[in-house]
Amino acid sequence: MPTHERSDSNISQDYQSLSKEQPSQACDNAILAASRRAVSSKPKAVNKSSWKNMPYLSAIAASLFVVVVMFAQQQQDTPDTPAIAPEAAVAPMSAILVEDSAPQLMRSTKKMSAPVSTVSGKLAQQGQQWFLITAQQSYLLENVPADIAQWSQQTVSVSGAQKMIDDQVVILVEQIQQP
Amino acid sequence: MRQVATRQTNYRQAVEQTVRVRYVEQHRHRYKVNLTMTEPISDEQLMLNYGQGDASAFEQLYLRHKGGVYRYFLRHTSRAEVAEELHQDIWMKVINAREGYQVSAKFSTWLYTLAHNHLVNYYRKHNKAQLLDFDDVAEPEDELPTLDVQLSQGRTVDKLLAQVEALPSQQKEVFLLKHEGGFSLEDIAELTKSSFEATKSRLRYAMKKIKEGISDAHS
Repeated sequence: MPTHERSDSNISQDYQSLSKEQPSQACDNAILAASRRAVSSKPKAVNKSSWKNMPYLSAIAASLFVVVVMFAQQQQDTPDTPAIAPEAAVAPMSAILVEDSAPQLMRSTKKMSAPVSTVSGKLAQQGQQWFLITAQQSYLLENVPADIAQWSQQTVSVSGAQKMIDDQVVILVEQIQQP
Repeated sequence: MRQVATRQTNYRQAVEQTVRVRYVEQHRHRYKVNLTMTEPISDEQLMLNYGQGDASAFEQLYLRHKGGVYRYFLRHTSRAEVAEELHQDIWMKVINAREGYQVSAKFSTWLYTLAHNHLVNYYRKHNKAQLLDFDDVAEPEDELPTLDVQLSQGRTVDKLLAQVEALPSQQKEVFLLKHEGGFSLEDIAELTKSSFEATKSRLRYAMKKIKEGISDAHS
Protein backbone atom coordinates (compact mmCIF):
# COMPACT_ATOMS: atom_id res chain seq x y z
CA MET A 1 0.00 0.00 0.00
CA PRO A 2 1.45 3.41 -0.95
CA THR A 3 2.46 5.38 2.05
CA HIS A 4 0.23 8.31 1.26
CA GLU A 5 -2.83 6.11 1.23
CA ARG A 6 -2.20 4.77 4.71
CA SER A 7 -5.09 4.87 7.11
CA ASP A 8 -4.85 6.03 10.67
CA SER A 9 -4.76 2.47 11.88
CA ASN A 10 -1.84 1.72 9.59
CA ILE A 11 0.00 4.71 10.96
CA SER A 12 -0.71 3.54 14.47
CA GLN A 13 0.44 0.01 13.74
CA ASP A 14 3.58 1.20 12.01
CA TYR A 15 4.38 3.50 14.88
CA GLN A 16 3.88 0.74 17.44
CA SER A 17 6.19 -1.58 15.54
CA LEU A 18 8.89 1.05 15.15
CA SER A 19 8.72 2.67 18.56
CA LYS A 20 10.82 0.28 20.58
CA GLU A 21 13.38 2.45 22.30
CA GLN A 22 14.04 1.67 25.94
CA PRO A 23 16.04 3.46 28.61
CA SER A 24 19.57 2.21 29.08
CA GLN A 25 20.41 -0.63 31.42
CA ALA A 26 22.32 1.77 33.63
CA CYS A 27 19.23 3.94 33.95
CA ASP A 28 17.11 0.90 34.81
CA ASN A 29 19.59 -0.28 37.41
CA ALA A 30 19.77 3.12 39.03
CA ILE A 31 16.01 3.43 39.31
CA LEU A 32 15.48 -0.10 40.60
CA ALA A 33 18.29 0.27 43.11
CA ALA A 34 16.75 3.49 44.37
CA SER A 35 13.37 1.79 44.69
CA ARG A 36 14.87 -1.01 46.77
CA ARG A 37 16.85 1.38 48.93
CA ALA A 38 13.73 3.40 49.63
CA VAL A 39 11.83 0.49 51.18
CA SER A 40 14.75 -1.21 52.88
CA SER A 41 16.53 1.70 54.51
CA LYS A 42 13.69 3.64 56.00
CA PRO A 43 12.02 1.95 58.94
CA LYS A 44 8.33 1.73 58.47
CA ALA A 45 6.69 4.48 60.46
CA VAL A 46 4.12 3.40 62.96
CA ASN A 47 0.89 5.02 62.12
CA LYS A 48 -2.72 4.44 62.75
CA SER A 49 -3.07 2.15 59.81
CA SER A 50 -0.39 -0.19 61.23
CA TRP A 51 -2.96 -1.56 63.67
CA LYS A 52 -5.04 -2.62 60.70
CA ASN A 53 -2.17 -4.78 59.55
CA MET A 54 -2.01 -6.60 62.89
CA PRO A 55 -5.47 -7.99 63.53
CA TYR A 56 -4.11 -10.65 65.84
CA LEU A 57 -3.24 -7.98 68.41
CA SER A 58 -6.85 -6.99 68.80
CA ALA A 59 -7.76 -10.67 69.11
CA ILE A 60 -5.20 -11.13 71.87
CA ALA A 61 -6.45 -8.01 73.64
CA ALA A 62 -10.03 -9.23 73.44
CA SER A 63 -9.05 -12.65 74.79
CA LEU A 64 -7.20 -11.09 77.71
CA PHE A 65 -10.17 -8.90 78.45
CA VAL A 66 -12.49 -11.89 78.55
CA VAL A 67 -10.12 -13.78 80.85
CA VAL A 68 -9.88 -10.82 83.22
CA VAL A 69 -13.65 -10.41 83.31
CA MET A 70 -14.18 -14.09 83.96
CA PHE A 71 -11.57 -14.06 86.70
CA ALA A 72 -13.16 -11.02 88.31
CA GLN A 73 -16.55 -12.66 88.10
CA GLN A 74 -15.23 -15.77 89.75
CA GLN A 75 -13.78 -13.70 92.51
CA GLN A 76 -17.15 -12.09 92.97
CA ASP A 77 -18.85 -15.43 92.94
CA THR A 78 -16.68 -16.68 95.76
CA PRO A 79 -18.97 -15.76 98.65
CA ASP A 80 -18.17 -13.74 101.68
CA THR A 81 -19.73 -15.77 104.33
CA PRO A 82 -22.33 -13.34 105.61
CA ALA A 83 -23.14 -11.75 102.31
CA ILE A 84 -24.96 -14.43 100.43
CA ALA A 85 -28.50 -13.36 99.71
CA PRO A 86 -30.05 -16.76 100.22
CA GLU A 87 -28.63 -16.75 103.67
CA ALA A 88 -30.51 -13.60 104.53
CA ALA A 89 -33.63 -15.09 103.08
CA VAL A 90 -33.06 -18.34 104.79
CA ALA A 91 -31.87 -17.24 108.19
CA PRO A 92 -35.16 -16.37 109.85
CA MET A 93 -36.95 -19.41 108.49
CA SER A 94 -37.54 -22.14 110.94
CA ALA A 95 -36.54 -24.90 108.55
CA ILE A 96 -32.96 -23.76 108.78
CA LEU A 97 -32.88 -24.19 112.53
CA VAL A 98 -33.02 -27.94 112.49
CA GLU A 99 -29.38 -28.59 112.80
CA ASP A 100 -29.92 -30.66 115.83
CA SER A 101 -32.75 -32.71 114.48
CA ALA A 102 -30.80 -35.03 112.24
CA PRO A 103 -28.62 -37.73 113.65
CA GLN A 104 -25.04 -36.62 113.47
CA LEU A 105 -21.84 -38.43 113.86
CA MET A 106 -19.86 -35.35 114.65
CA ARG A 107 -20.46 -31.66 114.48
CA SER A 108 -17.87 -29.09 113.64
CA THR A 109 -18.55 -25.55 112.66
CA LYS A 110 -15.54 -23.37 112.48
CA LYS A 111 -12.72 -25.51 113.52
CA MET A 112 -10.47 -27.41 111.18
CA SER A 113 -11.53 -30.57 109.55
CA ALA A 114 -12.61 -33.45 111.71
CA PRO A 115 -13.73 -36.84 110.63
CA VAL A 116 -16.96 -37.12 108.77
CA SER A 117 -19.66 -34.92 110.16
CA THR A 118 -23.22 -34.23 109.28
CA VAL A 119 -24.63 -30.79 108.97
CA SER A 120 -28.21 -29.85 108.23
CA GLY A 121 -29.28 -26.79 106.42
CA LYS A 122 -30.78 -25.55 103.23
CA LEU A 123 -29.15 -26.23 99.90
CA ALA A 124 -28.59 -23.21 97.71
CA GLN A 125 -26.79 -22.86 94.42
CA GLN A 126 -24.77 -19.87 93.40
CA GLY A 127 -23.27 -20.08 89.97
CA GLN A 128 -21.65 -23.47 89.68
CA GLN A 129 -21.20 -23.89 93.44
CA TRP A 130 -23.48 -25.39 96.04
CA PHE A 131 -23.79 -24.16 99.57
CA LEU A 132 -25.37 -25.52 102.70
CA ILE A 133 -26.89 -22.64 104.57
CA THR A 134 -27.31 -22.87 108.31
CA ALA A 135 -28.18 -20.32 110.92
CA GLN A 136 -24.54 -19.91 111.85
CA GLN A 137 -22.82 -20.01 108.53
CA SER A 138 -22.73 -21.36 105.05
CA TYR A 139 -20.71 -24.35 103.94
CA LEU A 140 -19.26 -24.73 100.50
CA LEU A 141 -19.97 -28.19 99.19
CA GLU A 142 -17.45 -30.08 97.14
CA ASN A 143 -17.64 -33.48 95.54
CA VAL A 144 -21.35 -32.98 95.15
CA PRO A 145 -23.37 -35.76 93.53
CA ALA A 146 -24.65 -35.28 90.03
CA ASP A 147 -28.27 -35.23 91.16
CA ILE A 148 -27.81 -32.57 93.82
CA ALA A 149 -30.12 -30.26 91.96
CA GLN A 150 -33.09 -32.26 93.18
CA TRP A 151 -32.32 -31.02 96.69
CA SER A 152 -32.11 -27.37 95.67
CA GLN A 153 -33.72 -25.01 98.17
CA GLN A 154 -34.57 -27.94 100.43
CA THR A 155 -33.47 -28.64 103.92
CA VAL A 156 -31.09 -31.57 103.90
CA SER A 157 -28.42 -33.21 105.95
CA VAL A 158 -25.00 -33.31 104.37
CA SER A 159 -22.42 -35.76 105.59
CA GLY A 160 -18.77 -35.35 104.80
CA ALA A 161 -15.39 -34.29 106.00
CA GLN A 162 -14.88 -30.64 106.62
CA LYS A 163 -11.91 -28.46 105.90
CA MET A 164 -11.03 -24.81 105.84
CA ILE A 165 -10.05 -23.13 102.65
CA ASP A 166 -9.40 -19.39 102.82
CA ASP A 167 -11.74 -18.86 105.75
CA GLN A 168 -14.45 -20.88 104.04
CA VAL A 169 -15.63 -24.10 105.56
CA VAL A 170 -15.83 -26.74 102.91
CA ILE A 171 -17.62 -30.06 103.16
CA LEU A 172 -16.45 -32.91 100.98
CA VAL A 173 -19.83 -34.43 100.42
CA GLU A 174 -20.22 -38.10 101.03
CA GLN A 175 -23.94 -38.25 101.43
CA ILE A 176 -26.97 -36.04 101.18
CA GLN A 177 -30.22 -37.07 102.73
CA GLN A 178 -33.34 -35.61 104.07
CA PRO A 179 -33.14 -34.82 107.72
CA MET B 1 11.02 -40.49 15.28
CA ARG B 2 10.71 -36.75 15.80
CA GLN B 3 6.95 -37.04 15.70
CA VAL B 4 7.02 -39.71 18.37
CA ALA B 5 9.29 -37.63 20.53
CA THR B 6 7.01 -34.64 20.09
CA ARG B 7 3.96 -36.68 20.97
CA GLN B 8 5.71 -38.06 24.02
CA THR B 9 6.77 -34.60 25.10
CA ASN B 10 3.28 -33.23 24.62
CA TYR B 11 1.81 -36.12 26.56
CA ARG B 12 4.25 -35.65 29.41
CA GLN B 13 3.53 -31.94 29.53
CA ALA B 14 -0.18 -32.60 29.57
CA VAL B 15 0.21 -35.07 32.44
CA GLU B 16 2.37 -32.64 34.40
CA GLN B 17 -0.17 -29.88 33.86
CA THR B 18 -2.97 -32.14 35.05
CA VAL B 19 -1.02 -33.10 38.14
CA ARG B 20 -0.27 -29.46 38.87
CA VAL B 21 -3.91 -28.45 38.51
CA ARG B 22 -5.11 -31.28 40.72
CA TYR B 23 -2.51 -30.47 43.38
CA VAL B 24 -3.50 -26.82 43.37
CA GLU B 25 -7.19 -27.63 43.62
CA GLN B 26 -6.64 -30.03 46.46
CA HIS B 27 -4.55 -27.61 48.42
CA ARG B 28 -6.40 -24.47 47.56
CA HIS B 29 -7.68 -24.19 51.09
CA ARG B 30 -4.15 -24.12 52.38
CA TYR B 31 -2.70 -21.66 49.97
CA LYS B 32 -3.95 -18.43 48.57
CA VAL B 33 -3.93 -19.57 45.01
CA ASN B 34 -5.22 -17.46 42.22
CA LEU B 35 -6.36 -20.05 39.76
CA THR B 36 -7.17 -17.38 37.23
CA MET B 37 -3.53 -17.10 36.31
CA THR B 38 -4.33 -14.83 33.37
CA GLU B 39 -5.36 -11.92 35.63
CA PRO B 40 -2.33 -9.79 36.38
CA ILE B 41 -2.15 -7.58 39.43
CA SER B 42 -3.37 -4.09 38.62
CA ASP B 43 -1.01 -1.14 38.51
CA GLU B 44 -2.84 0.45 41.41
CA GLN B 45 -2.44 -2.66 43.57
CA LEU B 46 1.24 -2.91 42.69
CA MET B 47 1.77 0.67 43.76
CA LEU B 48 -0.06 0.07 47.00
CA ASN B 49 2.02 -3.04 47.59
CA TYR B 50 5.15 -1.04 46.95
CA GLY B 51 3.96 1.49 49.50
CA GLN B 52 3.79 -1.38 51.97
CA GLY B 53 7.41 -2.24 51.29
CA ASP B 54 7.23 -4.75 48.46
CA ALA B 55 10.15 -3.79 46.23
CA SER B 56 9.28 -6.42 43.65
CA ALA B 57 5.94 -4.70 43.08
CA PHE B 58 7.75 -1.57 41.97
CA GLU B 59 9.91 -3.63 39.66
CA GLN B 60 6.82 -5.02 37.93
CA LEU B 61 5.35 -1.56 37.66
CA TYR B 62 8.54 -0.17 36.23
CA LEU B 63 8.88 -2.91 33.64
CA ARG B 64 5.32 -2.30 32.48
CA HIS B 65 5.63 1.42 31.98
CA LYS B 66 9.29 2.27 31.51
CA GLY B 67 9.22 2.03 27.72
CA GLY B 68 6.20 4.25 27.23
CA VAL B 69 7.39 6.92 29.64
CA TYR B 70 10.88 6.96 28.17
CA ARG B 71 9.64 7.23 24.60
CA TYR B 72 7.19 9.95 25.66
CA PHE B 73 10.13 12.07 26.77
CA LEU B 74 12.26 10.96 23.84
CA ARG B 75 9.75 12.02 21.22
CA HIS B 76 9.26 15.38 22.90
CA THR B 77 12.90 16.22 23.48
CA SER B 78 14.47 14.19 20.65
CA ARG B 79 17.53 13.68 22.84
CA ALA B 80 18.18 10.36 24.53
CA GLU B 81 20.23 11.80 27.36
CA VAL B 82 17.57 14.38 28.21
CA ALA B 83 14.85 11.79 27.92
CA GLU B 84 16.69 9.52 30.35
CA GLU B 85 17.17 12.35 32.81
CA LEU B 86 13.49 13.23 32.75
CA HIS B 87 12.58 9.55 32.84
CA GLN B 88 14.67 9.00 35.97
CA ASP B 89 13.20 12.11 37.62
CA ILE B 90 9.70 10.82 37.13
CA TRP B 91 10.37 7.42 38.60
CA MET B 92 12.08 9.00 41.60
CA LYS B 93 8.89 10.97 42.11
CA VAL B 94 6.95 7.71 42.00
CA ILE B 95 9.31 6.15 44.53
CA ASN B 96 9.03 9.11 46.88
CA ALA B 97 5.25 9.15 46.61
CA ARG B 98 4.84 5.49 47.51
CA GLU B 99 3.69 5.95 51.11
CA GLY B 100 1.16 8.65 50.38
CA TYR B 101 -0.19 7.06 47.23
CA GLN B 102 -3.96 6.74 47.12
CA VAL B 103 -6.03 5.25 44.36
CA SER B 104 -7.95 8.27 43.17
CA ALA B 105 -7.38 7.63 39.47
CA LYS B 106 -5.70 5.12 37.24
CA PHE B 107 -2.02 4.73 37.99
CA SER B 108 -1.11 5.40 34.35
CA THR B 109 -3.10 8.63 34.41
CA TRP B 110 -1.22 9.75 37.48
CA LEU B 111 2.10 8.68 36.00
CA TYR B 112 1.66 10.51 32.72
CA THR B 113 0.31 13.57 34.49
CA LEU B 114 3.56 13.63 36.44
CA ALA B 115 5.44 13.21 33.17
CA HIS B 116 3.52 15.99 31.45
CA ASN B 117 4.01 18.44 34.31
CA HIS B 118 7.67 17.58 34.55
CA LEU B 119 8.09 18.19 30.84
CA VAL B 120 6.44 21.58 31.12
CA ASN B 121 8.79 22.48 33.94
CA TYR B 122 11.72 21.32 31.85
CA TYR B 123 10.67 23.56 28.97
CA ARG B 124 10.24 26.53 31.26
CA LYS B 125 13.57 25.92 32.92
CA HIS B 126 15.35 25.73 29.58
CA ASN B 127 13.52 28.72 28.14
CA LYS B 128 12.02 26.78 25.31
CA ALA B 129 9.71 28.78 23.10
CA GLN B 130 6.94 26.26 23.10
CA LEU B 131 5.12 25.03 26.11
CA LEU B 132 2.66 22.29 26.47
CA ASP B 133 -0.07 24.67 27.43
CA PHE B 134 -3.28 22.74 27.25
CA ASP B 135 -5.30 25.53 28.78
CA ASP B 136 -5.17 27.15 25.41
CA VAL B 137 -7.56 25.17 23.26
CA ALA B 138 -6.62 26.94 20.07
CA GLU B 139 -7.09 25.24 16.77
CA PRO B 140 -4.06 23.36 15.54
CA GLU B 141 -3.38 25.94 12.79
CA ASP B 142 -2.87 28.59 15.43
CA GLU B 143 -0.27 26.67 17.36
CA LEU B 144 3.19 28.03 17.93
CA PRO B 145 6.01 27.03 15.58
CA THR B 146 7.40 23.59 16.15
CA LEU B 147 10.61 23.01 18.03
CA ASP B 148 13.70 22.29 16.06
CA VAL B 149 14.15 18.56 15.80
CA GLN B 150 17.57 17.71 17.21
CA LEU B 151 18.62 14.28 16.19
CA SER B 152 21.31 12.67 18.26
CA GLN B 153 24.24 11.47 16.22
CA GLY B 154 24.26 7.80 15.41
CA ARG B 155 20.56 7.30 15.96
CA THR B 156 18.64 5.98 13.04
CA VAL B 157 15.23 7.52 12.91
CA ASP B 158 12.59 6.17 10.67
CA LYS B 159 10.63 8.63 8.60
CA LEU B 160 7.52 7.92 10.63
CA LEU B 161 9.27 8.56 13.92
CA ALA B 162 10.80 11.70 12.51
CA GLN B 163 7.38 12.91 11.49
CA VAL B 164 6.04 12.26 14.97
CA GLU B 165 8.88 14.20 16.52
CA ALA B 166 8.23 17.06 14.13
CA LEU B 167 4.58 17.42 15.17
CA PRO B 168 3.44 20.54 17.00
CA SER B 169 3.74 19.90 20.72
CA GLN B 170 0.04 19.69 21.51
CA GLN B 171 -0.60 17.28 18.66
CA LYS B 172 2.48 15.31 19.60
CA GLU B 173 1.27 15.13 23.19
CA VAL B 174 -2.08 13.68 22.19
CA PHE B 175 -0.44 11.29 19.75
CA LEU B 176 2.06 10.04 22.34
CA LEU B 177 -0.46 9.67 25.12
CA LYS B 178 -2.55 7.54 22.80
CA HIS B 179 0.24 5.42 21.35
CA GLU B 180 2.70 5.25 24.24
CA GLY B 181 0.37 5.64 27.20
CA GLY B 182 -2.47 3.66 25.72
CA PHE B 183 -5.05 6.23 26.75
CA SER B 184 -8.42 6.77 25.14
CA LEU B 185 -9.36 10.18 23.82
CA GLU B 186 -11.57 10.72 26.85
CA ASP B 187 -8.68 9.94 29.19
CA ILE B 188 -6.36 12.20 27.22
CA ALA B 189 -8.86 15.04 27.36
CA GLU B 190 -9.10 14.64 31.12
CA LEU B 191 -5.36 14.33 31.58
CA THR B 192 -4.57 17.38 29.48
CA LYS B 193 -7.55 19.30 30.83
CA SER B 194 -8.89 19.86 27.36
CA SER B 195 -12.22 19.24 25.81
CA PHE B 196 -12.90 15.98 24.07
CA GLU B 197 -13.46 17.71 20.74
CA ALA B 198 -10.20 19.63 20.95
CA THR B 199 -8.36 16.42 21.78
CA LYS B 200 -9.98 14.60 18.92
CA SER B 201 -9.08 17.42 16.53
CA ARG B 202 -5.49 17.43 17.65
CA LEU B 203 -5.16 13.71 17.05
CA ARG B 204 -6.81 14.00 13.64
CA TYR B 205 -4.46 16.77 12.56
CA ALA B 206 -1.52 14.85 13.98
CA MET B 207 -2.34 11.80 11.86
CA LYS B 208 -2.89 13.99 8.84
CA LYS B 209 0.47 15.74 9.30
CA ILE B 210 2.23 12.42 9.70
CA LYS B 211 0.70 11.04 6.54
CA GLU B 212 1.53 14.20 4.61
CA GLY B 213 5.05 14.19 5.94
CA ILE B 214 5.60 10.60 4.95
CA SER B 215 4.12 11.24 1.52
CA ASP B 216 6.36 14.23 1.01
CA ALA B 217 9.34 12.16 2.04
CA HIS B 218 8.49 9.57 -0.57
CA SER B 219 7.78 12.01 -3.33
